[in-house]
Amino acid sequence: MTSTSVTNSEAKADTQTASAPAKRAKGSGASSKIIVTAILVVVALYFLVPVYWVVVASTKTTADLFSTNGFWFAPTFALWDNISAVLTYDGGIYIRWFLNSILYAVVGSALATYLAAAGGYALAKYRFKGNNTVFGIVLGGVLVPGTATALPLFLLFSQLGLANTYWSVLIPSLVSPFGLFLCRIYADATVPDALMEAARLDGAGEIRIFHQVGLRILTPALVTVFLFQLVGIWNNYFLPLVMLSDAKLYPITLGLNNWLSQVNRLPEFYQLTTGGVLLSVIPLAIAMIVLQRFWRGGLTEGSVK
Amino acid sequence: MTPLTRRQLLKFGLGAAGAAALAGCGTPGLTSVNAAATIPPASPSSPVTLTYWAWLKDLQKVADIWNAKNPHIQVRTVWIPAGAQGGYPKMYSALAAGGGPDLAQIELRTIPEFLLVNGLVDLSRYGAAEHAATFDPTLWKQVSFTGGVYGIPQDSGPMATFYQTEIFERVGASPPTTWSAWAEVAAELRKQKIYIDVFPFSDASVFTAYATQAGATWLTPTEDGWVINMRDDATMSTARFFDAALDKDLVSTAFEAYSPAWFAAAGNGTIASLTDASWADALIEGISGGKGKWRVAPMPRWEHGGFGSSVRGGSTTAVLANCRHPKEALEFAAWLNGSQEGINGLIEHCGIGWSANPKFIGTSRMEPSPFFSGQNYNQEVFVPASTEQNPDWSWWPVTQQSLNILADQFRRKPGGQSLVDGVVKAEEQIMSVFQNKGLSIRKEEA
Repeated sequence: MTSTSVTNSEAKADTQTASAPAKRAKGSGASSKIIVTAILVVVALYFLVPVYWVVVASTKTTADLFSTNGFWFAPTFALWDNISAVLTYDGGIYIRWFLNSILYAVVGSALATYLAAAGGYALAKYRFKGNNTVFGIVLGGVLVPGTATALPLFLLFSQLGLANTYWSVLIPSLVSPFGLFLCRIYADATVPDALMEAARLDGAGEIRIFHQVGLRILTPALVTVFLFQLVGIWNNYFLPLVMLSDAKLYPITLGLNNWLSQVNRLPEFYQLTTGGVLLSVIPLAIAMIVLQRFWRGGLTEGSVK
Repeated sequence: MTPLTRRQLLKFGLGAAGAAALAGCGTPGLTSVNAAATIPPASPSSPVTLTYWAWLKDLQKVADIWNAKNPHIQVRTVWIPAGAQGGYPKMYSALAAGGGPDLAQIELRTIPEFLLVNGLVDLSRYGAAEHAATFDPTLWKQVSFTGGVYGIPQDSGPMATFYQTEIFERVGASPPTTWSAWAEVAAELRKQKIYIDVFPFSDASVFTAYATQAGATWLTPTEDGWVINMRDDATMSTARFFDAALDKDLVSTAFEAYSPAWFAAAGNGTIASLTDASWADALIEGISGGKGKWRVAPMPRWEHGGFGSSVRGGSTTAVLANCRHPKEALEFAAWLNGSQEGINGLIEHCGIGWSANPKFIGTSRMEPSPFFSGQNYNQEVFVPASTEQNPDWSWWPVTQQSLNILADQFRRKPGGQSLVDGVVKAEEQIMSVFQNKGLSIRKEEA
C-alpha cells in the first residue's frame, strides 16, 4: 500500500511534465490532448483508488468492513477506535515498528545518499585507472534485485554474528548502485571542472571541494537518490524477514504481515492491519509532498543540458 | 525404533537431490542430524533456553505458564509471519546458515517438505512414542514417516456444515446428511436465487478435503519411493459430483469463502451454508447480523462409503535440525499441545483451530454458543467429526505446489474442461514435479 502513494505522486509529477509539451504542440489538435489526459486520469485513479479504499476501510468496524460498500463510509465511524487499537495492541508494538522503520529508512537512505554522491562524484570528476571498470561493476549492481542478495547476505551476517541486529538491515541499505549511477551522470553534467580548479587555486582540499562545492551542486540529484532509497528501504520486506527474528526489531512491513497472518482465524486483525497500513502511508506521503519539488528538478535537470 | 539411515532416506526419496532445489541455497549438510548420535538431555542444574518460531499470536503468554513451572527449561517465542507468507523461507535460510530456532510451527502438510532438506529432528529417538497415546491417531499418522516422528501435532480442523437455519426452513430442508441430499437442497435453494455454498477454483485444498472424506489417499510413502493415485474411485466420483453441481449451477464460483463478497452474501442471505473446518466458527461470527441465525451440522456423507468428516488445516510444533536440546524441546511441545493447561492457553491466547488431544477439546469449547443459536456445537458436532477421519491420508514433499497445479486445472472448468480431466492432468504434472526434484515416484497399479 505504501508503494501506491509513492507511485501516485510520481504519476502526478508525470501529469505536469507531460502536459507541458502537449500545450506547445497546439497544432496537433485537441483530440491528442484529450487522449493523453484520459490516460493520465485512468493511471491516477489506478493508483489513488487503493489509497482511498484504505482510508474508508480504516473507519469501519470489522463487521461493517464486509457488509457495507467498500467505497463509502459505514454508519458507525470507528477510525479513532481502530487507531487506538493499532497503537495499543501488544503494549504498543506498532509504535516500536514504526520507529524502527523510520530509523532504517532515514538513517539508511541518508548514509546511502552520501556514499552514492561521493562515489558518483569521484567517478565523474577524477580520471584514474580502472575508472570505467569500477563504474561498469557498479552498474551491474543495478541489475541485481535486492531480494536476490538477501540470502547470501544473511549467511554472511550470521557468520559475522550480526544477524538479528539493527546492523543486519542497516548495513545492506547503505549501498545504492542506482544512486551512484545517477550521481555520476549528474556530476558529469553539472559540476564544472573550471569551478573545481578555481577552488583548488583558492587552496581548498579535495574533500572540502566535494563537501562545499560538489554536494551543493548535486543537491537535486541527492534528493532523488534519497527518496528512492527511502521508499526502497521503507517497503523492503524480504531482507528484514530473513535477517530479523526478534519482533522488537521488525520494521512496519514485517509487523503488518504478522498481523495479516492472523486474519484467517481471527478476523479482528483485519482492522488492525488496515489501521496500521493507513498510519504507515503517512510518513511517505509527507516525504513525497515536501520533497517532490526537488525530485522533479532532479530527474529533468540533466536533460536540458 | 531405529533411526533413519542415509540409505533409507534416499530410498524414501528424501535424499539430497531435491534438497538444494527446495531450499534455494546450500543445505545444512547432506547428512541428516538423525543419523548422528542423539544429544543427551541437559543436567537439571544447568537451565536451557529454547527459542520457538511461530505465527500464533501471544504464544509467549502460553509459554510463560510453562516457564513458571519449569525453571530449568525456559521457552522464548518469536512471532514470525505465517509459513507461506515468509515464515518458511525464513526457516529454510536459518537452517542453511546452521542456526535457526529449536522449535518451529510447521503445518502438517509442510512437514515432508522440511524432511526433504533434512530440516527436522526425528523425535522418536527422544522418546516421542510415550506421547503418541495423547494425540489424535490421524494427526499422529501425518507426522510419522517410515518409523520416524517429525513433529508434535498442534491443531487441526475437523469439518462440518455451518448453515443458516431460517433459510433452510424456507425451503423446508433440514441439514443434508448425504451429498446427494445436499445437491437436492441446493437445487431447491437455487429456485430462490440462493446458493448453498461456494466452490473455489483457486484453492484446491477444499476439493482435496472432500476427496479425503470420500476415502482417497493420493500419495503414499513406501520404502522404494512415493506412490501416487489420484484416479481412484473416491477422487473420481468426488470430481464427477462437483462437475455436475457446477454444471447445474448449484454452487457459486463468483467468490471464495471469507472474501469480502462472501461475507456480504452470507450476511444478506444469498449464501445459505458453508462446509468447512472447525476454525471457521470465529470467521462466521464476524458476519454482520449473523447472531442466532447459524447452526452447525455434521457434513454430508458420500453414499458409496468414505468417512463421516474430513479435515482442513492443521499445524505441528516441530523440532528443527539445529536444535541443541531436542529432549527438552520435545517435553515442552508435548506439554503445550497435549496438556489441559497448554490447550486452554492456546485457545485463549492464540485462537488455535482444534485441539490435537482427542480427550480434551478445551474448557471454553465445552460451553453452548450464543452466536450459534445456543448450540453446543463443539461437543455435538466437531467432537464426533474429529473421530471420523480418513486415517490413511498423508501429505507429500511438494504439497503446496501440487495444490497449485490442481487449482490451475480447476480454473479451466469455466472454459469447458471437467474437474475429472483436470485431476487426471494434474496427476501427470505432479509426477513430473517429483521427478524433477529427483524423487522416485510411480503410479499405483490398479
